[in-house]
Amino acid sequence: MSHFHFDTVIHAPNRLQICALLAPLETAEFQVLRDELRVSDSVLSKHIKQLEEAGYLKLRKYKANGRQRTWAYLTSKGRKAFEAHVEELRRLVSIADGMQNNSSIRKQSTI
Amino acid sequence: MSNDLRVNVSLKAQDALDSIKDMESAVLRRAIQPWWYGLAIALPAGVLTTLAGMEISRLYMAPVFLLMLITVVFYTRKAGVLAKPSPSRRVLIIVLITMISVLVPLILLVQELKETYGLIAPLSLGLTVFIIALIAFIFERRALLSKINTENII
Repeated sequence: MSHFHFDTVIHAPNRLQICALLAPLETAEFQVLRDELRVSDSVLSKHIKQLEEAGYLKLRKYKANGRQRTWAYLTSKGRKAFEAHVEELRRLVSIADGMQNNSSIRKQSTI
Repeated sequence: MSNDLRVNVSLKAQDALDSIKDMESAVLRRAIQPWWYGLAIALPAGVLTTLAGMEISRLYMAPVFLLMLITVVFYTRKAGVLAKPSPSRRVLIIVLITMISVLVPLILLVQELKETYGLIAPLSLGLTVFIIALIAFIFERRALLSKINTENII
């Protein structure tokens, strides 16, 4: 199986940032994600729902002091997809870096 | 794909990678526990071991255990994040099982030694557990700090 995979579900900026926030964590609270992304509750909910539908993210809800608190975490499928997507991004960057090096070598050789 | 398009795609990919790094750093800053958290975990762990070595009733151990549990739950809720431990979950489970299987015979040994050496034996074991727990906390904290390349977060 390839380690590079461009994932269209993950690549949308907000969803990419949600995955980036959750990747180094076991779990994070909804409010933390909202504050870090600087988006509204509804926007965050929409993106979380799309990640949930793809099976990349799960929510845990419970009540504390009469308030509903929601915690999100990446599933193992989500983690794998995110890692593969990051690898693909790195590969794209390295291809362009290689091209720039080649063109600078060609320029030097013509001089 | 033309060269210009390739460079454009690469720039966008680099932007995405930069934004991933920013998000990871931001959330790891939240996940770093303060120094008192390490003490709040290590101290009760040491006290619990000492009490077990002294063969003191579990009734007295329960509040210490509860205090430790409340600290963890309270802090995690307040921070809103729970960091992944540096070693993998599997390694962590193996370490925990090994520690328990070493600690239980040691506590039994200390209970026997208490008759000869008095309180020094359980206190020494408690102190050892306290130091080990504190060192583990410091290593974990340093691992998180090195991930975000900053030493100034307290």
